[in-house]
Amino acid sequence: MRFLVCLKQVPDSTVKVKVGAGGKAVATEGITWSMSPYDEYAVELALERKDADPTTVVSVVTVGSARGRDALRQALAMGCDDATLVNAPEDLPALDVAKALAAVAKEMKPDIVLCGKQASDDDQGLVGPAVAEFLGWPHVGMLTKAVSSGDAWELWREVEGGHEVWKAKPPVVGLVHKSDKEPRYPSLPGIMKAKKKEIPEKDLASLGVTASSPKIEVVAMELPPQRGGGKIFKLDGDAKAVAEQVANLLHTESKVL
Amino acid sequence: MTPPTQGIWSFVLLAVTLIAAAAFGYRVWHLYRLLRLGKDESRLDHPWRRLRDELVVYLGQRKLIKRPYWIRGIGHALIFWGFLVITWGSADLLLRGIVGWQMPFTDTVWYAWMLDFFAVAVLASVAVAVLRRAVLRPARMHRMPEGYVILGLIGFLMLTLVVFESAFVASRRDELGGHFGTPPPLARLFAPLIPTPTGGALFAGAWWAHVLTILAFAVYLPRTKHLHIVTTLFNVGFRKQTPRGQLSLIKDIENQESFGAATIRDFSWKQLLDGYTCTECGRCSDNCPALATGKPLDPQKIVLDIRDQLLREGPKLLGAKLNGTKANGDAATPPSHWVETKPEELWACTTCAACVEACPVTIEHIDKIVDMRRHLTLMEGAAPPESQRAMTNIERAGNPWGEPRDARGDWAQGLEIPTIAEKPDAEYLYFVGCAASYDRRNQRVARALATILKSAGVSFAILGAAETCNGDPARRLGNEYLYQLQAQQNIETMNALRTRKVITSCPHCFNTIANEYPQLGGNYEVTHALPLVRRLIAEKRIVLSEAGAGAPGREATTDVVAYHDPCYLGRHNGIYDEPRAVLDAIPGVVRKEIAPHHRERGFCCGAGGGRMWMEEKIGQRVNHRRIEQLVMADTKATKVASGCPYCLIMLEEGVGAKGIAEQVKPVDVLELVAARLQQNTTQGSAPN
Repeated sequence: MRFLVCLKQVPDSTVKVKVGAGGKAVATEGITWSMSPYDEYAVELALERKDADPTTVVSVVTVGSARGRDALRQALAMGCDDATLVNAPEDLPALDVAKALAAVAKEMKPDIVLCGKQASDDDQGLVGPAVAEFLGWPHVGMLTKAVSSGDAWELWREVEGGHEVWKAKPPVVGLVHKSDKEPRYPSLPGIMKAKKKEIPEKDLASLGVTASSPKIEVVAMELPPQRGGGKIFKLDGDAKAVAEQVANLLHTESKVL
Repeated sequence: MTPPTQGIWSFVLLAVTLIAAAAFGYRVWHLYRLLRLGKDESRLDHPWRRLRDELVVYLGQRKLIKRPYWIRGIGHALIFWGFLVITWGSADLLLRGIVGWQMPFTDTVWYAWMLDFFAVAVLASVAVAVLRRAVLRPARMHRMPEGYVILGLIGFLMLTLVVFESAFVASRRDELGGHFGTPPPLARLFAPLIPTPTGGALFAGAWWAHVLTILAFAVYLPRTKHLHIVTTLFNVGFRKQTPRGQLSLIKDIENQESFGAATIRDFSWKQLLDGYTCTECGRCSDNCPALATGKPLDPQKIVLDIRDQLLREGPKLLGAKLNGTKANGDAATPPSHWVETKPEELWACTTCAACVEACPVTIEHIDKIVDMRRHLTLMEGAAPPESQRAMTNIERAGNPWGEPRDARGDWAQGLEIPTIAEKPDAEYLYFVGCAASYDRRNQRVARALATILKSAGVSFAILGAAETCNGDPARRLGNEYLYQLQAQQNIETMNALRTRKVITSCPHCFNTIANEYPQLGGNYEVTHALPLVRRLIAEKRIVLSEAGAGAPGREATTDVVAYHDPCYLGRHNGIYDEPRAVLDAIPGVVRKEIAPHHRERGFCCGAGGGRMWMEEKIGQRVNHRRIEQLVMADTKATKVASGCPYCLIMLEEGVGAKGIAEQVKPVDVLELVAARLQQNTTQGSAPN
């Protein structure tokens, strides 16, 4: 069984986002980058299968600048087998990214391609379904678990109030919402091995991809307005009296009731 | 005294002695070889301190005689000192019996008196010990039959000693006439009860019984926990002389293949010696906050698990070593994973050092626990998931909360606190730490300290966003790699500064920078804020008054303040008096103790050792127990003060959960000082 997990490197969730000069993009000077959280879940989900069946091979791929190697190394440190970097400009349109990923998938012939359901930076959620479309494979969204059952896969997806179990024959594309366990913390030998591992590079031309898709232009970017300070009311009385006053305040002060 | 070993009997005694010595020696040699299965470690630094420890801790029994174990401690010390005095006499008996030589001083009156004094003292202590085991039955004691055997042997030795001394005097009554000369005092007392004719036989019988018991003791001892009589000498001599709060460094970590301890071969010989030395007294367990609140951790079990596994699997490993090359032998019979100790035991430890403090024979529990955690975290990636989040946050954001790296210095905004980049010639660097940088409650402590320092005219600056987590949580969670990355980053930053003087308001920052950074080339003059503030008060650089000047209209009030000892100030670094001295110097503050859990018996808040970053699902929460102790101590305190951000967070949560948040307010001592400053130079501090 072979997994191909598509990753994106994004500004880490601990970074305090600032708008860069020009007002059209996030300032990236000196910030910490990491693997997008849903992609981390995708890696974990694949590795859980590898834990269950050690013959499973988990490959990872990213499309973007050389900086993306760090995200790939993190995935290798977690236990993935190999990694591929597709060199491409940072502002490559999402559809072209999907084309490149589909091209890699065609070469590698995995049974399952996993993507995070969306990247935490632009939250478009476009690449995963587009990869399925370019490959002509079915895709299942909101995945939380993948269990092999005979020649097919049981794919668990989260839905309102519960989950559905779909069955799909490989090859298939899965868009991961969460994994059973939290993404694993790499062991130190894992980190060291990942450091030494070679990461082959490909470029768009060698994959037969030409950047031709429509591009989204960001017109302006600004931080949400600062939240005003809250008001503190001192309320007296028993629970009932306080509740009445709170209800009143919610009506008169905040106007939510 | 002429020994009853005339003629052939001296040869019999010689033979029996040789057999006993061989049995003793063989066992000791075997134990030594097992010990050598452990990793090498040098314990020869600070020879004078080691000598001092032998005198104070081994001979002086210092770690036995302490609260709340006064009576038991003195009982043990009497048996031990008696053992030393009587062993001298035993050697004399054997020498005289076999070759007719004698040990020096054994004929003197004062030795006779000493011998008899200890014979009585030991007998009394043995009686108390038996009574305790049989009647009082303290919960922490494993009432093994072994204990009774040993007590019986010791008691029997003393009785036979008195009997043969008395019988000897009685048998010579005629020669000596009515005047006994200078026989031992007990013999003088008991000899009249023994008729002269039976004296000789009784003497010979009791003498032989005594001597054979000594030899039996020597054979039995190294096969029981009473081996500690011998090993404590070495265990104390080879105890850690580096600071208690310093964990061992994994050198050249990027080029190692295995980390931490998973099998007995991964522990050092000294850690294995700890196992031989454990007396199973249970004082460590008695003081463990994890065990007390129903966690699966029992520090004594950690030590005994290692010992038992060594005794169980060690011989096989030695056999394998003999049969093949070392490597092959190991592969053939690999030592098992520390099967007896479960990960959930290891993760329950707060590294509070109550066990280390309590141990009379200087066993080092924390180092073993952290070594095993290192294996779990570094080799298996198996730290508890919540703690993994904290480690990832440290890695990516430089703080376990996962707050933005850039925002680290934000707490100081508007307070005119310079960064060291702005004020490179500052005398002190204030290393703020993650808690005081990001946690809103603890930011108030940082502001209080800044106010105090400004009021005293102390020149200081902070690193701002250039500071990063000191690495303590990572290190104690077993993530030595992340710790070293963090430490190296800070050391690089700090080594580039003009000043070497560092202030911390967090005992964990203090311990790590003062005690652990030197391992990686970071040598600074580090002080925790409270000793510094104490000095500022003593030098009258800050003046305190009951009302303070910071808040206009503030009325003079009296605060009854209970002091909570942070583990990393107190037990780990011996800072007990300074915080108390600061409290005592604040006008309008009445200090109280949370007795008996104060000073070296202070009870952990539950957040150390990375526990701050883990869920606490088993048993009672440690901080809730601490609040119960506070209530039990009946101090009438309106505030409970500490000097640690973790303690503050845990105490805040504790008083809330216990419903006494209105009656007792947790504070940092620094906040109490800042509130009563006379010349308050900034309005930044908002102490309560």
